[in-house]
Amino acid sequence: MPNSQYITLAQLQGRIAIALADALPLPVWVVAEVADLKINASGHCYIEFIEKNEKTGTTEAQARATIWRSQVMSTIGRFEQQCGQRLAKGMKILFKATVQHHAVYGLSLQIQEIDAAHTIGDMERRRQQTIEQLQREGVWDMNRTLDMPLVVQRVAIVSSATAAGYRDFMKEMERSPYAIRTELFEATMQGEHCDESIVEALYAIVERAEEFDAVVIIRGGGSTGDLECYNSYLLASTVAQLPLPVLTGIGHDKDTSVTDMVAHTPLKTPTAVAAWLDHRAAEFDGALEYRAIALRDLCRQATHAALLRLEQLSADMRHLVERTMQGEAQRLDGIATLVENFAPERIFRLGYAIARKEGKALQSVESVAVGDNIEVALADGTIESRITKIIKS
Amino acid sequence: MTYKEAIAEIEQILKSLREEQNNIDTLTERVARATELIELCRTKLRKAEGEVNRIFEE
Repeated sequence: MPNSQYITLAQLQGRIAIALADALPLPVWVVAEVADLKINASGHCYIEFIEKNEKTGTTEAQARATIWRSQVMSTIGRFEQQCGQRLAKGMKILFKATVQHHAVYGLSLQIQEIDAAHTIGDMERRRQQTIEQLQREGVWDMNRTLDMPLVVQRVAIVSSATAAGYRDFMKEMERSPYAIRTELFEATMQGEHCDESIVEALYAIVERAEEFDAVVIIRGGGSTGDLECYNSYLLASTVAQLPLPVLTGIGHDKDTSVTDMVAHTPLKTPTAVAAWLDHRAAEFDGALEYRAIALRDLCRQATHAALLRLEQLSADMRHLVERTMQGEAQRLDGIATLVENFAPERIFRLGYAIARKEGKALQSVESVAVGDNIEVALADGTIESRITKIIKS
Repeated sequence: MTYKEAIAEIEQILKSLREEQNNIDTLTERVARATELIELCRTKLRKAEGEVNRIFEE
């Protein structure tokens, strides 16, 4: 082969570079999924993009991209601020890039701008899909319809041991006068695969479910950033189907996560969860105190009523006895009057006399004859007399 | 004798007092019995009250 019929590798790379520059002279907007992301020691950011077939999942395209250190803040920083999310693996982003070909490093994209709105929309769409899937599967309300015990005394906590949120929670718990026992099930609470780590901790709790009244998932304490894993179907679905009521204190200020939506009692912060537990115990304590007072009052009322009744019975009896006595006395008086009316003194006073023959009072002229001796009794003495004549009336 | 039984008997005596007003022969006897029962009930009531109060003070 003659010398003039081949070119060097550098010449080839040079031609590709020129051809590429001709074909794509201006920056282009590209949509792709972040497969890997690194910021090296000098501050430059390297991203590996990928595009997968939505049905088969096989890789259909792949490319490297760079964000120079000077532009990291204006692109990634701004993007993260607008999204409220860390730029991370698995995210689909829309970015503006120039395409370059380097003789040694090959094809690469230089990112100039990232469109946060596209990612927000994409996340929101996926979030909605997760919600719809949970509703379709009938697990959406499962945790929320569990009964929360009147007093939550045995709490399983899912958190990272070093998180500020966990410290806040424990500090608030120590201030509670109630004996609420907590046990920590450690998990990674943010970043990639944190949903899997939390689910693993939840499974460990479920194995000892009868030892706990409720589960608390806490995170945060000021740290903002990647909350996307709390929208994950895996985590939300596990929380929804947990046999224990779940309280969340994930500590976010923007949208409520899907995990919060399926939890029994979603609260803003770890401190709020601790305060809620304390408040619930206090409420029960107060209700007990109230019932004790009500019981005492009822007892007092009952003994008081019994005493009143007894007094009433006693008074009734006295009254009845008095009435009986009075009635009898009146009756006796009446009888006495009647009796008195028949006393001889009264007869004499009225001018009557009693005539007797042989000591027997005379009631008819038939019982005497002329010549009989009779006695006539008066108040002050007796007259002995003889009958001289009988006149029948 | 329970409080309930005592009260029932007192009520019975009162009923007899109302209905047999001229039965003087047994009047004293009935009044004495009722008074005794009322005193028994008072004692029981005071005792119960004292116990209830002590329980609440604990």
